[in-house]
Amino acid sequence: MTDPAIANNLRSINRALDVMQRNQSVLGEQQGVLQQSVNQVKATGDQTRANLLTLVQQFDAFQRQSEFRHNLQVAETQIVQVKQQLETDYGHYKNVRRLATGTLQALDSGITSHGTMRQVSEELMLLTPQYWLAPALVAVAAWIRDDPALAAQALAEANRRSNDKTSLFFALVLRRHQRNAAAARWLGQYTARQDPARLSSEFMVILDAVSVGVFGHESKALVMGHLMDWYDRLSDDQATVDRQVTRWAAQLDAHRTPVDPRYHVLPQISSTWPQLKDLYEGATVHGLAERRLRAMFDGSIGQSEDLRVRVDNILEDLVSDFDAEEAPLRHREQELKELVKAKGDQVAADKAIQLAKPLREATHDFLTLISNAAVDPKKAGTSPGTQRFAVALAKDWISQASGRLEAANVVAHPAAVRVDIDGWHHLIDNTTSEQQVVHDLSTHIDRQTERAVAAVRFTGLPLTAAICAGLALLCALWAGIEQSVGIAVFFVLVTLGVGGWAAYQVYGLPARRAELRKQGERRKTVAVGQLRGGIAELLDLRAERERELALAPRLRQYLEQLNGAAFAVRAPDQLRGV
Amino acid sequence: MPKPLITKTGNQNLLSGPMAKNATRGGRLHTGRRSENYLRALRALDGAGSLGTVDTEKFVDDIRREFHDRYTAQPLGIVGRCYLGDPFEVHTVTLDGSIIDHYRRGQELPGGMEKARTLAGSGSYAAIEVYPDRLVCLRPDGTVVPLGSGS
Repeated sequence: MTDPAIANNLRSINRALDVMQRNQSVLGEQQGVLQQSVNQVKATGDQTRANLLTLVQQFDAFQRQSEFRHNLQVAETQIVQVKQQLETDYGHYKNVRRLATGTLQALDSGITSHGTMRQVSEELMLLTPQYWLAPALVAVAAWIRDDPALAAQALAEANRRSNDKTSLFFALVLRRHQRNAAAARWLGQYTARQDPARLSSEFMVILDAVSVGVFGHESKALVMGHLMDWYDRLSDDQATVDRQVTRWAAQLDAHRTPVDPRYHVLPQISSTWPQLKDLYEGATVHGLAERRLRAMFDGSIGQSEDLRVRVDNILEDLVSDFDAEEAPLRHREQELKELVKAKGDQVAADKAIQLAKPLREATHDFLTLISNAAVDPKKAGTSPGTQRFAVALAKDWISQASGRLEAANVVAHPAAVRVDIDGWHHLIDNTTSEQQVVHDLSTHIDRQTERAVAAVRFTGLPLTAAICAGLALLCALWAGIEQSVGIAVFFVLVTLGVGGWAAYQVYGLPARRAELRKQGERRKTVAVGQLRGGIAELLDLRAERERELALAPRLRQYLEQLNGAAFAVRAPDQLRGV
Repeated sequence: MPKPLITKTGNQNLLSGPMAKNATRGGRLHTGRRSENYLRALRALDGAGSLGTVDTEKFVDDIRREFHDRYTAQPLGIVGRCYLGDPFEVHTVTLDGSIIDHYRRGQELPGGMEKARTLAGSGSYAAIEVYPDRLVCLRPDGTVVPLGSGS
């Protein structure tokens, strides 16, 4: 081959190299665009995953709502059925119950003839077999028209059907007419028969009567003597007291303030969060309990100045609320009402039913009875006044329950809080320094970034391609020397192709490393932000929990000054009495 | 094994004193406020390392008297936060042998007293009385919180 031919070939090679360089820079730009596209795809992937998670949560919520709706519908239908059954089976008792206070009020006004009273009461006696109140009313009607023989007979029958309720009924009726000594005798008989470990639920009437000031001096002294004696005796039994304390602890614990939703970083980064949340919410029970108690004791309870009205209210409770045969249906009705109240949430309803379980027992010890009146006067069939009286009697158990919850909260406090950020985790405890953990996290991410950057090297296929290109160039030169133009051109093209690709790879390395570093910095900023936010939230939450726990002594101080005897009201007809 | 700072075993005058003779583990739980004498004795025992034997006897006897005078059950032991400083975390007083031991972090407490450790170390209570079936937390003002028998 002549020199001009070689020179021509070299020129064409130079031109080809120029074109290749231009192509390389274009390729470099395209790689940048490609990197952006990859980032976009990643962002879209993250977004899709987040959307999917939201969708799953929405589906779960929908499923729960649907279940709640179904439960609610079933409960509402069943309530109607239970009410109908109550009406069918025991509806006729209503007339007898109305007649109880009706007869006494008719006697007050004196506008009803003895004949009518006798006729109505005896008719109801026929219509309500086995019901204790019917013969009791026949006895009242006979007593009013001064027929001692029939009164005694009817009284014997009423006593046979329900000794305790009849005694209470006549004690109240006699007290209504201020026959105090006779009322005290009935009451004496009644209380003497009672076992404080197994009181029937109608004993609640006694608590009610004491707290609203129905009993006169004679009866009140007798009843209070018994109550205090029982209280002291049962308080010596640690197991009985423990039951009350456990119940009050559950009662206090059922009213918690949920944690503020402003805490949003810690739940994301700490697997200890559920425990921290539970501890904070558990600490709020003391302050809430104090507020509820203060609200309960604030203001006056409107009591009628007329003794007869007070007695009639209690009589109505006695004849309406405590008949054991109706109890299963009434309990079922109550369960369904709880489900409706919880808007179909069976778990929440079960919790409420469990809390009210002691109210459903057929007999109670005296201390449980006090707790029943204090926890839920409506369900126990008592007045708000009785609730105050009962809470004042139960103050030691409430105080102990609060102490027990406080101790449980202290014990459950985790020694360290675990945080997990971007593959890094750490246990934060009292000795942790924020600077140190931030440094630790930054170092971790820097190390990861450096590892990723170090992995971007001129190795593997690009290196092989470069070696191949070198060999092809040698072959091209050899072919040029040997004047084999075709082979030389072929090897030149191979050199250009393979070498160009290898050069492109080398050219892209710094850009990729820079991009990785940029991403590492971004990750570090986000992670450190999360860590600092999490630590700040942890400190806030801890301070809030300590503030809430500090309210426990205040609750105990408040309970300390409540005095049971102060809530046993005097009778309106004996306000000047001893 | 923790090094007992003060150890009394065998037939020594603490066990032959009147309180010890009548000391009992049975009986009901003392749920009332603890006396000032009792609290003072507990506080003093924390610094027992620097106390003479005679003082220790008096304080342990004061602790026993608290339960004996009321005919109430006597705790197996009392666990309190140790103020000797790092690495000591809690100390225990066992009324049977009148042993006062100070325990380091991570060192297990004997005789069922381990369950009182967290409460004692929290600083919220002056001491924790350990009974066979329950714990009783003692507040600095002498009031107590008997925990449930399952606690």
